[in-house]
Amino acid sequence: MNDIDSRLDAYPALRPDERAEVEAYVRAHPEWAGRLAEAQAFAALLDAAADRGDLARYVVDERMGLDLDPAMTAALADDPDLRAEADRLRARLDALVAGAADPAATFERLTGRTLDRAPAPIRPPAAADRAAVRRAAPRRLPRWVALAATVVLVAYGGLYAISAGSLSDRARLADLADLPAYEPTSVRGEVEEALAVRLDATLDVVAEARRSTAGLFPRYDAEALDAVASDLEQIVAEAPRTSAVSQEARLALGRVRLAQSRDDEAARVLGTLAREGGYLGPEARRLLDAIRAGE
Amino acid sequence: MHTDQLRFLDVVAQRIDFAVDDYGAAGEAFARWRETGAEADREAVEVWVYCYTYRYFLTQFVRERTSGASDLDAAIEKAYTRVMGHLDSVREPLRFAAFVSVVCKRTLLNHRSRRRPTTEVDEVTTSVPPEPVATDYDGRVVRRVLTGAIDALPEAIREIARMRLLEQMPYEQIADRVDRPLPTVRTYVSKAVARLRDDPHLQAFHYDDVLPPGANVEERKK
Repeated sequence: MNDIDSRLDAYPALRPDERAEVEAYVRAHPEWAGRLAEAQAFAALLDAAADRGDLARYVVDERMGLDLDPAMTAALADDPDLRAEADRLRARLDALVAGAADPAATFERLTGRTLDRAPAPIRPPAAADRAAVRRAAPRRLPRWVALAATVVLVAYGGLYAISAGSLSDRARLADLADLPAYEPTSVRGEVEEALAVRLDATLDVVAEARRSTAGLFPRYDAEALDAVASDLEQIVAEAPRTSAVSQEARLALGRVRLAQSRDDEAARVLGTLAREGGYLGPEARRLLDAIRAGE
Repeated sequence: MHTDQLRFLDVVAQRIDFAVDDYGAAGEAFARWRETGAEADREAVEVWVYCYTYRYFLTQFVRERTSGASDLDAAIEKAYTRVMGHLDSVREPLRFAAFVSVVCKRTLLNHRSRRRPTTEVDEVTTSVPPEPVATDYDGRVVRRVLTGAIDALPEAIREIARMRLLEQMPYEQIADRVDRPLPTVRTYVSKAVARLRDDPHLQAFHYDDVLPPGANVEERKK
């Protein structure tokens, strides 16, 4: 193929048959594979902008009561095969949602906000619907049930306050609750990507290591934390020193060492991170200062 | 859970005065919160991010048919937590929707990567990270950003780029429309693609716009 270089430059704008020609050429000349991968990634981005016929999105928007793509609505009216596919997707959606957590409860848990669960009616229900709604309406709970529920809630609230209050400044400093939420940030090659995924999986173990009773008096399994620390040390050893993965792994390692009360090791890791002045340097410095202040 | 519970958006969305797919309004709410720190704007941001994240993963998982409900819950929670934990790293508040969409895409790629079985027992060998595909992106968000990038192209190639990349018109039709030879049209489109590849807002999708403040595009390319 003549001028593969310029063909790869133009790859996102090529027709499907032309893209296939380029791909066939690269299979026979693998020295161009890296360029092709980059071109394909950029092409995927541009293709996404042009792709307006997303049936899965249509089905989800339909269930969520959002505005629907009129072109897709028209296509569905005309095409029985498309309608059949939409029905399959709807069934899949129903199955998926049926097994998932209550989205409103998840929202409340993640944000700490309380929702008024009674949604505003979208339109006044018809008479038949109103009868159905009356039949489906839950009966009021007996007063003693409401009283018992209140007692349990108050007792739990008290225990929660004691649990939170019993945490020393030191324990709060060493709290690892947010570590499992780590997501890899930048991608600079396969090695770093693979390490970032390993780091993500390692930090997920922290969540599994957390022990508590009904969310009260949290603590961590010592063996599991040892394993996490060991994995983090390996990732630190393999990651390029200035990479985001290395910095994230070292900050996490410092925090795990703090949680294990191994302050000297925590200070060593965090001190290096703070001195290097990377983007996590200020956070490392904050923790280091707290250790030195004897919190 | 019954699918009527998807109407939770009715409950949640009552707290914001714009639609979940109004990305411009979401960016404005975020920018306002950045500016004023008002609690009402913070709440609007939280509500919108949650609704957007929920819709993104529900769509992806319905499409892929390979992940279950527990994967859905985990991915939503992870992406939401990730977004809210990195609000400080959003460099252009009005492009907040693009930032959130990139976080969702990364979470999806990581989910797929973990799900894919490795072929080697060796600990050092990990699975090959999956390449992004068009459906990983939120097409509407990308379209919005791409439209802006094309608008910023030199006039000579702008219209041709729009016809080819946004409307996906065949080269022959474009040549007829602009009354130019076919090779010229192809050259113009190539020039447009080359310029778009360097557009920082499109690169933010490509290389992920969740780096710390101060990290520039060149650093990301290394």
